Amino acid sequence: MQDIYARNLLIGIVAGLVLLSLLFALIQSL
Amino acid sequence: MSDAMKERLWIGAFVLVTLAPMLILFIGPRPEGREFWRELSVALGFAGLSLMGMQFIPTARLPFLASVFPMDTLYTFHRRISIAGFTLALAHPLILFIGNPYTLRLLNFTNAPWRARAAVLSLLLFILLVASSVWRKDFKIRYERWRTIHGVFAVVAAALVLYHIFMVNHYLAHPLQRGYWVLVAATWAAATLYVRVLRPLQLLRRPYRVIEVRPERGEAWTLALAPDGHAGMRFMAGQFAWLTARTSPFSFRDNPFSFNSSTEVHDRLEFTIKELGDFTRTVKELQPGEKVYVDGPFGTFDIDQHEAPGYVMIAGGIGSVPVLSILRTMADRKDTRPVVFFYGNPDWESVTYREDLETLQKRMNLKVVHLLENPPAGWQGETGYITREILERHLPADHAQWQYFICGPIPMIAAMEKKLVAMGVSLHYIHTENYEMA
Repeated sequence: MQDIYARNLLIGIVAGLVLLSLLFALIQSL
Repeated sequence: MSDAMKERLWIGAFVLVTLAPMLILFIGPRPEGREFWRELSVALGFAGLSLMGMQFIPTARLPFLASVFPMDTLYTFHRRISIAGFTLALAHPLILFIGNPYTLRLLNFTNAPWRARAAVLSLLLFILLVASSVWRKDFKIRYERWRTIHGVFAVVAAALVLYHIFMVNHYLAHPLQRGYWVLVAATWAAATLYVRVLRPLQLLRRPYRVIEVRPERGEAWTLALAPDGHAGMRFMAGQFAWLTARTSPFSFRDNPFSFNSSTEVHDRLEFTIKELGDFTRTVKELQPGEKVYVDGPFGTFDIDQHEAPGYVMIAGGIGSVPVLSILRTMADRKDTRPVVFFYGNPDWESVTYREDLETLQKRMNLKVVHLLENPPAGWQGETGYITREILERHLPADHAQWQYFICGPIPMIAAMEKKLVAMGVSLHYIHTENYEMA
C-alpha cells in the first residue's frame, strides 16, 4: 500500500520541481 | 502521536525540504535574468540536486523513520528518487549545451575551470552509481563490493556537486540560499557519520553469540543467537534485522533477515535464512560461540500496530519467516483471534516450517492453506498460484474487516494486492514485505 503512495508522492514532487523550474526560467527570461 | 500522523508529518517535511531550494530561488535577490534555456537548465540542476540530496536519508536506517515506514518502501523510494533526481540533474548540462553550444568547451578537462571539472566528475560518478545499481546483477558485481563502491561514490559525488554550486555561486548570494545548502550538506555528513561510524560502534558494544544452527526444509537454515553481555533487544513479531557475521560491523557486509521467533522469548533471537547468495550459503558453517552483530529491529510488518478481528497471512517460500514470528507470538500470548495462512511452495518436501505449522495449529486458531506448484500424488489441497476463488473459498464473510500481511517477491505482492482490493479489502488493511529488498 505504502509503495503506491510513495510512487505517487514522488511523481507529484517531480512535477512540482519541473513546474517551478519552468516558472522560474520564464520569470528570469522576461 | 499516531503513526498515521507521524507519516503525514514526515511526508510534509520531505515535500518542504525538497521544494525549498526552488522556493528560495524565488525569494532571494536574483541576479539579472538570462535567456530562458540557461535559466531552466540551472533551475533543473537545483531541482535534481535537491531530490538527490534526499537519497542519504531513507537508507540510513534511522529508527524514527523505520518505525513509521516499511524499510522496503524506503529503499524503493531511495532508488526512485535517485533516478528522478539524476534525470533532472542530467537535464542541466544537456539543456545548457543545446541552448548554448559554446558551453561545450567546459567539457575540455585540461583547461576548464575547477568548478566545471567538479561538475563533469560528479556527473560521471552519478552515471556509474545509477548504472551499477540498476544493472548490478547484469554487470556481475558482488553485492558486498557494490555496497562499498556505492557508499564511496555517493559521498564523493555529493561533495563535488556542492563544490560546483558554491564555486559557480550564481544563485547562492542570499543567506537563505547558502544556508539551505550548508544545512543539506551537514545533514548528509551527519547521516554518513551515523551510518558509517556511530551505528557500527553501537553494534560492536552489543554482540550476539551463535547458540544453534539447524537445517530447515526448503534449503534454509535457522540461526539462533543469544545476547553476549547485554540484555538483548525487544522486537515486534514480523520485524527483521541486518546481520553481520565473521567480520566487523565496519565492513558493511550485513544482510537483512526476518526474525522467526516469538517476541515473548527474550533470551534468544532466531532467524531463518535460505541459501540464495554469498552470505546465505555460509550460514550453515557458523559454529556455536561465534560472534554475530544484529542491527535492528526494523520494519512495520507487525500485527500489534494493526488491530483486527482476524488476520490473513500470505507468503511464498521463505516469505513465511516473518509470518512464523507472528504466529508463534500469538500462540505464546494465547491470542485466540482467527488466522488464515495461505502458503505457496514448489512442492510438499520443501515447505519450510511444515511441522512447526502443524504444532501451531493445535495451539491457536490457525488454518493453514498450503498451495503447491508440484503436488504429490493424491494431494487433496490447493495447487498453483493463489486465485480469488481460492481466497474466497477459505476466508470468512467478514474478511474485509481483517488485516492482511503479504510477504514475497514484488510481482506476487502486486498480484495479491490487486485481488484483495477487487474483493473489497481496503488498501489500508494490506501490509506487505518485499523479501528481495537487498
